[in-house]
Amino acid sequence: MTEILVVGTGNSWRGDDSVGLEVAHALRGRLPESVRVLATEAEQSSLMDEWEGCDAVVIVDAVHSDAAPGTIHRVDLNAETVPHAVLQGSTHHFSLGDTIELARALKRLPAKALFFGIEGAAYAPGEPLSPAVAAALPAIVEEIAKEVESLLDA
Amino acid sequence: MADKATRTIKTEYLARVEGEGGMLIRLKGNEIEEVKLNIFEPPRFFEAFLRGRYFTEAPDITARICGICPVAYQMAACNSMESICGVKVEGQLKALRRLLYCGEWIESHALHIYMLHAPDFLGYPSAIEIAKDAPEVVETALRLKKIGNHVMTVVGGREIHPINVKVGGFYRASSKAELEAMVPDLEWALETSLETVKWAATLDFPDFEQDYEFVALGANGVYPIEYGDRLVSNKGLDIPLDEFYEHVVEEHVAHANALQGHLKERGSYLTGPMARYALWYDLLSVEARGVAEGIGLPKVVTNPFKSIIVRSVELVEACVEALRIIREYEQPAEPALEVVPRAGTACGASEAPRGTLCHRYEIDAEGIILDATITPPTAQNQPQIEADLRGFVGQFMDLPNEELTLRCEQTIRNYDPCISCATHFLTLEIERA
Repeated sequence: MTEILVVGTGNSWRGDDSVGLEVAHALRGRLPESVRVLATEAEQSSLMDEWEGCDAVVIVDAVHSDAAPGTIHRVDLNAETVPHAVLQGSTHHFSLGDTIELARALKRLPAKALFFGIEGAAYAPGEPLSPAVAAALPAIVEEIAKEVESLLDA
Repeated sequence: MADKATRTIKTEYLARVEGEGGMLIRLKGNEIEEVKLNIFEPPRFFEAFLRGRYFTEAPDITARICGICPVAYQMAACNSMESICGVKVEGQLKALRRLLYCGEWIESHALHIYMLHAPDFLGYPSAIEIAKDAPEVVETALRLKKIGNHVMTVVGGREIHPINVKVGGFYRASSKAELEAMVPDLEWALETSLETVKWAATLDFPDFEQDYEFVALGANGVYPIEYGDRLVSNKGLDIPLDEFYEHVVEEHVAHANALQGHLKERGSYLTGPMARYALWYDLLSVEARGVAEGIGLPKVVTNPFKSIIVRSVELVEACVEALRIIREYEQPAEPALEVVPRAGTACGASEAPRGTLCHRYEIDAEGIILDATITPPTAQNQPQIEADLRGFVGQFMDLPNEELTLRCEQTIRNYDPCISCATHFLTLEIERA
């Protein structure tokens, strides 16, 4: 059986930066129980251990570029890198972008590795999702769920 | 190059440091005109947030200042509040605090030694590039860091901004079995740390010595980590901690959003691993002293580039201490002492991985915080970092710009600066005229 990990990450206290966590929460009720879904705000380099031994990993996080809020950026991590401008690094920790590149260098990316970047609009402390991202959420969840299901069928 | 040509050595945005800052050095001929460690991370106003809050909130609020060294903030805040309220946390609760802090030293020191500082010595732009050629180096770092983080999770409830620390002790004291489960990992970490010291000693170091005033906490006969009640230097300073602000003055300079710390009428000083090691070498464990002696490391190290070796010796110390504490641990009957507020002012401090962190609070009889002052290690080290840059450029100005710039960045990273802490601030620039 295909072992899949879905990781939603972000900061639950910073507006649209929580969208990865929100997507993970919604996918829990939507995906078959055999798919492990993780919503995490933990130090990002630890994610490599989370997906150790998995056939596939799907990572969801907020991104900030010039696209419309709610836009989904899909990146096949085994074929391309996440543009730095899209996934800006934290200056305080190993960022998600660093973790993905480190995993690539250490040959610790699963055979199938997808990144879904959700374009955010507002990141103010203590705010919920912005109306635009909240409105796009069901469609985002649906699209990612379909991708995960196609991985299960593969 | 004409004699009086201007030369600028500049890094706008420093990599491999925590937080946002840069560097500018301007030379006119062989004269150094200007050396600036620019700190542009915005100020974070934590001291003002604390006013009006209840005294028990200080450890959790100040933990948020840093994701790498939250425990340093929690301990300094607890030590200060407990000093005001006349409570002394001792025995197994104090040991458990030290264990939590050892976890932070292990994760922070491993991160800096292998991921942030090693690329400078090995000639790589980042740990990711090292991973392509020498994956085992990075895997070692990741495993060490993970073990440190795990100690923080087990004792502190989670690895970043632990939630289990309170004024008076903990919300829940770990069981002996929970701690003993970490022993095999910590034993691996100790062996790996000993190898780390030997590896660090083989790196190439520029021939550069400085005459430092080393400042660290004094902690009654133990190597200072989670507590200290004196501030001590190698040049005669030895004061009760409560006199910290009578001797350390904080000054605002235009190029930094972090106050710069100086010793009154004495000037810049160094706090951090090299200071602790120089002042308290005799208090290190047999294992730490043994490995230092084995590689021929003197008892006082004055080449700041060799801080990577000293930091590795402290990594050994943190592992030895963690294992000792677990061995001697007995779960206390109560996880915390009762702390009743009373009006007063006191300083509390701890030894963050990168140096002495001092907090001072004033609270009223109801426990409301009236005033807070926080002096992080990087703020104190800024003037010394600039002095090191000035000294290094003075001695090595014949180096080509690119190499000199890299060496200057390394001069800054010798300090494991945490700019985000200091602003409660790095980019580098060398100008030659």
